Amino acid sequence: MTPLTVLLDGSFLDALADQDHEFHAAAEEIYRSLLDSYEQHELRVRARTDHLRHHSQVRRTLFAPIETISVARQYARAGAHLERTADVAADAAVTLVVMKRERIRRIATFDPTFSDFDDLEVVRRATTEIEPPTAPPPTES
Amino acid sequence: MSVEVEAPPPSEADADVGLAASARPWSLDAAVPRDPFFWVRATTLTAYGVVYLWWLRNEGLIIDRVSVALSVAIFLLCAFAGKPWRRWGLLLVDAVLYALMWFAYEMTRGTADKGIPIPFTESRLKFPLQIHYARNIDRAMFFGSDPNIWMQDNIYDASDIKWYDNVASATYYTHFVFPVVAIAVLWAASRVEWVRFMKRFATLLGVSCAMFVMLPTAPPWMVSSPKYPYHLIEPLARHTGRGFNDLGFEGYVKKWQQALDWSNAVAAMPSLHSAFALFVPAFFLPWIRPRWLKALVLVFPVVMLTSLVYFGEHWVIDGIAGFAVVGVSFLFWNRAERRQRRTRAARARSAMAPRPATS
Repeated sequence: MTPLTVLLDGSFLDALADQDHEFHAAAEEIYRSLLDSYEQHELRVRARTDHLRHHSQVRRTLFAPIETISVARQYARAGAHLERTADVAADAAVTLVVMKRERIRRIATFDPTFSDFDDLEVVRRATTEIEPPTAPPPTES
Repeated sequence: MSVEVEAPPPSEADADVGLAASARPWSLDAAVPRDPFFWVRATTLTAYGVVYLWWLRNEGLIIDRVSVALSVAIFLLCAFAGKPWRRWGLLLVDAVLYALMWFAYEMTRGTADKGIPIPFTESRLKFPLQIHYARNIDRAMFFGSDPNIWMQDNIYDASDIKWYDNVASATYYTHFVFPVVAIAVLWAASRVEWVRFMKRFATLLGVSCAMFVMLPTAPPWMVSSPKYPYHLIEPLARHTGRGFNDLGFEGYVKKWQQALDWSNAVAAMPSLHSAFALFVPAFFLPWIRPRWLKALVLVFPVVMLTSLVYFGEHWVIDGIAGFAVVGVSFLFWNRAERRQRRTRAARARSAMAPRPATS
């Protein structure tokens, strides 16, 4: 059976790969859940090649299950058009075009742009408890 | 799936992880313009469908491999119009591999009865023709009677074409269409699924070819025919086209089929008619939800095997062997793909920090 596809956005990949990222824990939790479904062949995880390029050191380890989507020139052109006409950031615009052309409706992202679309499903954490932000160390005066 | 997937509006928790939405609900379909080539593809594919049906009605069902390959190529040109160049590049590589697979299959199958030439020598590797074993197995399975003879004696009427002749004949001819349609549609719809299909399909063809070489088996019509010296059973009627022609259709075979001389009359074990009839429904079975429809779909290979036996084209054991090869191919690739997914998921998990213990 063709499994569902989840696109991992650049913001999600960045958070996942960087242990110091503010959303790293959330990204890991989501990714673990995705891996469980991937292993059961219920899910395909895909990402843009240009987003993955920034993480070549973990491509064969952390990102091993991810299938690539090449950003064709026509996608980039359509993204640039969307950026001009709809006030969407350039990178998000290209991702939106990729999702439409590749018929993907689910995305793991930390970019709020995608929550604006009522026909997209943003993958969230299964648990809603968020760790409170770490309090800054008291400064000595 | 254990992942929670929700649609907006976002919660406070989402805001904490950066998912806060703005006040503009949008639709992806409305915001992102449609691929300008969509209508080109839709129009050309519709025209292709109309021409294909016209051809089927007036010229016949396209059967020979070269004509089938040409019809698939035209379909793909329509289906890939306006797609990115990279997709065209992949299509080209896939098409070359696809053509090589069929060519290797046809060449091996076609020369199996004459013996496979051994490189740098004059000799050929040729295995002895099997006359008796398939019939003996059938007789053992059917308590001493020959299913081919029983069916022709009891339900075949040379002077009248019954409804089941139409059904059996139409089922027989689907062999030339169903796998190719499935391959072409998957090619256009999802390369990942196409690759999954082709790995299993190529394995089926490869194993079958090896069996054609090592186990050349005379089919029932041959051992019953007065033209051959075997006379193992009473003469059988070969009437595969009768019911199909009665429905107003012909088989379209271009002259180059004969020129290529890919025929092999003793490539009976396993039956690829039966194998393909199981292969295509088995691949698409997970997509089908209603159980009654699953069951109905799986009746198709049984109807195919029954038709083949009725026509004297195959022994029952040929069909069962065909089903078995399909099973082996699916089993092998299902396991291989599962192992690959596990390995990749394990690599990803081990790259992450260990999950904190929950109390």
